[in-house]
Amino acid sequence: MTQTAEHTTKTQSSPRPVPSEIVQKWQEIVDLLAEIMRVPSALVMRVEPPNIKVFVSSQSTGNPYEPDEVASLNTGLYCETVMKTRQPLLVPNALQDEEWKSNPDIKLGMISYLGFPVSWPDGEIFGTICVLDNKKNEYSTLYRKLLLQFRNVVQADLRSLATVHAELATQKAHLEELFARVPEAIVQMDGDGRVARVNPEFTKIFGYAEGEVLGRSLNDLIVPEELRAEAEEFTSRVNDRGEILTVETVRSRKNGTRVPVSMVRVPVMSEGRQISAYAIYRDITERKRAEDELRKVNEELEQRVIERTIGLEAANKELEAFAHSVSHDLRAPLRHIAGYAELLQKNASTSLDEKSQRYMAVILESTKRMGDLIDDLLAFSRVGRAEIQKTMVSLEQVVKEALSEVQQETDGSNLVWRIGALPEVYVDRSLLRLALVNLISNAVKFTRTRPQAEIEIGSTDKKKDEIVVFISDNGVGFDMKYVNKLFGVFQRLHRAEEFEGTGIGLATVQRIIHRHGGRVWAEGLVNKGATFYFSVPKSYEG
Amino acid sequence: MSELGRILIVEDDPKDVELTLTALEEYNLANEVVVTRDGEEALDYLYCRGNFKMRSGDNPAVLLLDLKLPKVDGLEVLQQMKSDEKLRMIPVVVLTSSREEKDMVASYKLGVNAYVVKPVDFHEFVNAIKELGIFWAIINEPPPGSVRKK
Repeated sequence: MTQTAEHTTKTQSSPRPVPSEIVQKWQEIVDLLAEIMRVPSALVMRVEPPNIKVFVSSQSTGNPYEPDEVASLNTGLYCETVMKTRQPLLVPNALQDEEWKSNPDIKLGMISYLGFPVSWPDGEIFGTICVLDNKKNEYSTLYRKLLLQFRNVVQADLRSLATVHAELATQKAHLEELFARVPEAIVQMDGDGRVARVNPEFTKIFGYAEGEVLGRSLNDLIVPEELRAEAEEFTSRVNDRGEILTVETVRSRKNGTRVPVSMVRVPVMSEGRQISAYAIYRDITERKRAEDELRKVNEELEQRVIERTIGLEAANKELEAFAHSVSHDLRAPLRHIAGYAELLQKNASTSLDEKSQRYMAVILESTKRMGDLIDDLLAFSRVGRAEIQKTMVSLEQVVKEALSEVQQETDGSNLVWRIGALPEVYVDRSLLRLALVNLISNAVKFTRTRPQAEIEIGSTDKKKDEIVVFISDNGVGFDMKYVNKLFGVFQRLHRAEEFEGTGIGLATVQRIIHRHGGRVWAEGLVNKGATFYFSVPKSYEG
Repeated sequence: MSELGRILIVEDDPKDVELTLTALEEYNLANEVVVTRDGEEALDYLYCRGNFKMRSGDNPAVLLLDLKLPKVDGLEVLQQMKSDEKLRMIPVVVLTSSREEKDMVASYKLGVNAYVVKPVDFHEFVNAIKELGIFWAIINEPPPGSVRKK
C-alpha cells in the first residue's frame, strides 16, 4: 500500500488536492499567527515547480501577499531557501544582512522573516509556513515555538490527507486493474454520450483501438444499421429516464462482422443529472452457439418423438384392424364348423357308432373352447386399447353388480359369501367391474369342488396412498412357487379337465389394475384356498 | 301364429344363410324370408328395382343385416334406410360377428333397433335366430305398410 502510494505520488503531474475544510483551518491558523505575533503577514506557501505559490495568506492589515499569487523559483525568496534546505530560517533584519539584502520580499517591505519547512509524511516538500514583518524582528523563543507548533499541526493535516490519498489511490488502482482485466468490454461515456474511455476487452471484442473511438458516439460505431432505432430507444431510456438496462442484442465489429452480446447500460447520476454512463458488453457467441446446439438437439428429439408417435399410432391402428378382423373373420368359420357339426350330428346320429359320436362331441367342444379363447383375447386387447375414464365409484355397488353377473352362472347352493365394508374408489367403472367379474368367477370356479365354499371380499385402508381390495376363497389354492405365472397370458395352473378356462382372465385383471396405476398379487396354498389382492391409488391423479 | 311378418335377410356368407334358414325352419318361421346377398341387392329389394322391380311395394317386417358385405356394406345400407322417409320405419337388427364397440356405436348412432352378435355355439345361434324371428315376425307390430301373411 505504501509502495502504491509512493508510486502514484511520484508520477502525479498535478499537485495533490487539499480539501477546502483544511484550507479553511489553515486560514484560521495564519490569521491567528499574524494577530498573536503582531506581524502584517503570515503565510502557508506551496511549491508547484517551477513556481512557488501563496497557498493561504493571513487576512491582516498591511499584508502584501495575495492568495494564489505565484512567483518563480530561483529568485531568492526566503521561502525558497527554507524549502531547499529543509531547515527553519530566521532573518531578523534583511537590510543589515549581506545575504538577504537583495531578496525580492524586501521590495514588498518585508525585511524580517521566520519560516519552517512543511513536508508530506513521505518526506516530499509541500512548502513553508512563515511570518514576515515590515520592521526588524527577532521573534522570541515563544513565537518560534508557536510557529513550530502550528507547522506540526499543518504537517499532521498533511499526514491524514496522505493516508486518504493513498487509500483512494489503492482503490483506483484496483478499479484500473478490474477495468483492464475484466472479460467484459467497458465503455465510459461523457454526459453527451461520447466515448471517454474503453478497456482492452472492448478492443478485443470490437476491434477498435481506444484512440479510434474516443469522443465518438457508440451508436455510430458498433450498432448495426437495422438496430439503430432500437439502440436509440435504449440510449434514451438510460439517459432520459435513468433506467439501468440489461438486454441481449447484436453489435458490429470494426471489420463489419456481427457479434451477439449481452449489454448492460448504467447511467451515472449526480444531483439528479446524468453526468456520464457506462456500457458493458459481454461476448455471448459461445453461449449462443451452445443454445443453438441445444435447440437443434431438442428439435431433432421432438421430430423423432413425432415420428415415433406416428409409427406407434399406425401400429396401434393396425392392431385395432387386426382385432376387428379376428373378431369377424375367425368367428365366422368357427361358427360354421360348430353349426354344421351340430347339423351332422343331428342328421346322422342314428347311423354313427359310439366312437364317431365321441369325435363329433370333441369337435363341438373344441369349437366352443376356441370361441371362448377368441372372445377372451378380444376382451383382453380391448382393455389395453380402451381409454380410461375415472370417476368416484362405490366399490360396494360394483362388487354387487359383478356378483350378480357371476351368480347367473352358478347355482350357488353350497356357497357362502362374506362381503366386508367397501370404500369409494377413483377408477374406470366398467374396467373395474370386468376385473372383479374375473376375480370372483375365478373364486367360484376353484371352490366348486368344496362341499362348503366360502368366498370373502373386503378391503384394507392401512396405506396412505392406496386402497387394497382382496378376494379370498377356500378353494383348491395353488403352489406359491408358480405365483409369478398366475397373471401371464395363457398361463394355467390346472389341467383343462380339472378346471376349464382360457388363461386370460387374470392377465386381463392385471392389465386393468396396471392401467389404473395399481398392483396385483396373490397368496395361496395347495388345497387351502387362495387370496387375490389388488390396489388402486387413492389420489385423483395417476 | 296368426300373422307372419316378412323377414329380409342381408347376408353374403352362404353358410350363414343356410344356418339361419335352418334355424328359422325349425320354428316354422322360414316361409316369409327373403335373402339378399349384398348391400346393393338389399337396397334394390327395398326400392323395388333391378331383380325386384316386379314385387309388391310392401316393406318387410324386419331386416336382419350383416355389417361386412360386398359392394355396399351394412352400415351404408342402414344409413340409407334411416335417411329415407319410406324406409326409416322398418325395424333393423344388425346380426354380425363383430363385437367391436366401434361397430356397435356406429350402428346405434344410425338408429338401429337391435344389435346381435352371432353366437359361435350353434345352439345359442339357433336360439338367437329363433327369438329374433319370433319377436320381430310375430310379436312385434310392424309399422303400417309391412308385409304380413295371415
